[in-house]
Amino acid sequence: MTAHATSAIVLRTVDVGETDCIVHLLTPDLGRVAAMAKSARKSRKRFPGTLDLLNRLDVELAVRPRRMTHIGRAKLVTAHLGIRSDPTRFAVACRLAELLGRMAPEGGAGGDAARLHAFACHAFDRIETLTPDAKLRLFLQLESLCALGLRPELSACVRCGKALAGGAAFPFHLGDGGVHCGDCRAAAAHEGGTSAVEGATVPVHLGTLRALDHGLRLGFEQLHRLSMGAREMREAEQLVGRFQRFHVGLELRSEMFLNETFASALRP
Amino acid sequence: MSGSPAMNRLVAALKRLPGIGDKSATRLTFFLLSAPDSLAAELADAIVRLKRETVLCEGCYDLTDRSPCRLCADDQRDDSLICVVEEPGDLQAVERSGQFRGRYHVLGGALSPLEGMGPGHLRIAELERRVRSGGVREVIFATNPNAEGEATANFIAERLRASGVVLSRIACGMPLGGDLEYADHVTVGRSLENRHKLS
Ligand SMILES: [Zn+2]
Ligand SMILES: [Zn+2]
Repeated sequence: MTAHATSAIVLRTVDVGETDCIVHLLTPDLGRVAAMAKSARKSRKRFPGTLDLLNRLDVELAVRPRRMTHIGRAKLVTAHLGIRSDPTRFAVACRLAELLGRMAPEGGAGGDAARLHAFACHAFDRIETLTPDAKLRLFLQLESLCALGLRPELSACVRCGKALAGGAAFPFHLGDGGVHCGDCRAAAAHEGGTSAVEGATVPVHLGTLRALDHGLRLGFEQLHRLSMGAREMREAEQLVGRFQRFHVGLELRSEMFLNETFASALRP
Repeated sequence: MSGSPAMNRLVAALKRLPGIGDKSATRLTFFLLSAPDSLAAELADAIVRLKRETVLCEGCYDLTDRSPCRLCADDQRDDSLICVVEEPGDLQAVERSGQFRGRYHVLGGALSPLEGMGPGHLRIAELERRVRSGGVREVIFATNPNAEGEATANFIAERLRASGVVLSRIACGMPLGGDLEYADHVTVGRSLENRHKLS
């Protein structure tokens, strides 16, 4: 057994038996870890109020080969009280936690886990402080996918790399992660058989791709400088939503609450 | 497991209970086999009666043997106070304190987006109806002080804000018999925030 001290974000907790729980953590050196917290619901001394959703912790993990990892000790660093006190922030944060919980890789190769953990810390901090509007929701989703290694190509043809031009909608290929320019589409049609991928495309205009690209470069704090029209916003939400579903392979559970919360926040 | 079909049937049934695995189910089965017949009969009868004789109170949504339940039917209690809890067990905990003489509202859980538990799964609309129907002065949120419980209290409070009733949250801080040294800084901070005057 090796004792491993690390920082961690709680992505999910699942009660087991009468007193234990399994805590899904995102760490900078071990990636995503599911760890058993023995007596967590009984012992206030060992885990005083720490193993709670979205909390940032310093933990000591008992890592054993071919056995489940155990949490030996946990100290609270940040509790994000501002997120739980606002339903919209809570909804956005839960979607991020679920996405990371499903897609973050286990193990910590080549600094990827550290980068993902740093992104998650930054994102949860921003959810707590920035206005949780539709734009923040959209770019949190897109940036999370990028952080998970699913960065879509937004400025050029994903096949030939040529800059995109024209006012008509392009088909965005969810599997390829980008649009095909007119030339590449014509070449594919000539070879015969675009029909297989047609089902996995979303029509998108150049203006929407440019807005997404611009928003990614601005970062969360500067998003207020990005203006997006209603059509661009709708198209962008559909594109990023379908891109996520394609690569995650299923609809996230937290998506429903997020939609409900945004719909009721818009109601007068 | 080898053994009689009846044993296998009971093991399989017990394993469907939360927190019971193969080992515990087998252990309980062997225990019941060696226990007096009266215990098995009593247990079987209790389980059958549980479903037959437990109803949801139409007033507070607690699980009880009659609707309205004893607490809702008690005309000595204060109609203008509603204490909102997640589960029937939480109602019992508040009631045991002996500090509350108002009415209850059991939500049936807490918002948990990651488990697919949204507002539609909780009795929030029913609470809104109770508040709208008048006579309520204060709604006290006694949901758990964890992320889901806090989010639930804030979500409902936002919906009830326009009603004009007083919305309050149970205090959160150091547990009695606790030790400051072992408490996390958020708990200590909240204890200071929720401090009270010594008279
Ligand atoms: Zn091309
Ligand atoms: Zn009742």
